[in-house]
Amino acid sequence: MLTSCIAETMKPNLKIIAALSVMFFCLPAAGGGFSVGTYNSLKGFGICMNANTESGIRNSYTLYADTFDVLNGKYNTPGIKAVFLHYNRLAGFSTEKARIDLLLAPGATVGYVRDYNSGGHYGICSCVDFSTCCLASFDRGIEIEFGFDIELGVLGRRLGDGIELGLYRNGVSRGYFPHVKISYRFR
Amino acid sequence: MKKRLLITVAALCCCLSASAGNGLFSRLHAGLEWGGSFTVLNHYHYNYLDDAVGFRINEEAVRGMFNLNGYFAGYAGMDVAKELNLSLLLGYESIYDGREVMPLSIRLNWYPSGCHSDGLLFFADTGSGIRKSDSMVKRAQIGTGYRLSLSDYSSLDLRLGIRICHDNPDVWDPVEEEYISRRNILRNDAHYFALNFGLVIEF
Repeated sequence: MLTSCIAETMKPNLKIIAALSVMFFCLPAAGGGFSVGTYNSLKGFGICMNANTESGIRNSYTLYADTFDVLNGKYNTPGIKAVFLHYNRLAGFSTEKARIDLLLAPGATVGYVRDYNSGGHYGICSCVDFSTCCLASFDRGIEIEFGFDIELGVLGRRLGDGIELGLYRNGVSRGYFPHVKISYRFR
Repeated sequence: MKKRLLITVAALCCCLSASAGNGLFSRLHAGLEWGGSFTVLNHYHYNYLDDAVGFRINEEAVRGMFNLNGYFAGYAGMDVAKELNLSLLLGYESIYDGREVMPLSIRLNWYPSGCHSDGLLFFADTGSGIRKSDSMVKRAQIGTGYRLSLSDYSSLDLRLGIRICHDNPDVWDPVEEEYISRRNILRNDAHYFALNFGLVIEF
């Protein structure tokens, strides 16, 4: 009853943000250690959590504010995206104080965002992700990841009484924007 | 700008001859930096001829504001001494609403604990912001931060600085609701003071 009261009083976009946040923070940590850090990109800014399994798989969960048309001052409010990536290690080498790995990942993205041709209106996007990155893990517990990802999917937005579905263009057109994740590894 | 560059190069040559190091290439570094800036103060002095009223208008004021902008840059530099690093920086920066420039600056970094050790850092840079259409923006920055040494040649810096920019912006006429023609502007100086915060990865 309490949660239904809270939900009634929240605005629609805040409900989505709350749901995504609950999903993000309730994820279990994997057995091989985990790291927490920040996500930095021209696409947006946010937080990330990475869970490494003992078989070498790295699962990455990112929640970030989508700053499309915000950084250029057109709008004041960003969108929000949650991204899951399942990284597989392709190659790597170790140095005295660091390990450098090349990773490739499929994944998924959901978000409440604007698009290139949405006229400033928000819509819900649902995409399949493909990401590649170079991960540097340092002995002192800091991990730096530099990579690119492309999102292929759809954006659904309300149009009158119905819903308009279209290709989520920003997922492809902004795929060349790199991201940098800086995390601290806990164990 | 040219005079400043010549003085800096001369100082660099003197430092290089006095500095100790393992070799030239081990002292060369490059990096990426990005962050945000809060523009908090604007001082402007406009003097222009207003065709509509027929006389000159002189405006000078200081106003507080809160404008969030961003920047990112790449740099290349050299450790000129055990605790000093000199870098050339080029990037993309927004100094105010609708005013984006490509800053080209020379930065001096001082690391009291050593160029590749954990510890506090202090920096100062000066240069110009290049724009395609208008005159260049002059900018300068001082600040401090903390360096986390990741390996022998890579590090992560957290930086906080105060940036000052001088610009000659277009002057808005609130009565006519249009920009004053450039030929009527006798003076249009504006200074923007901002707090910068950012991350730097050096390798």
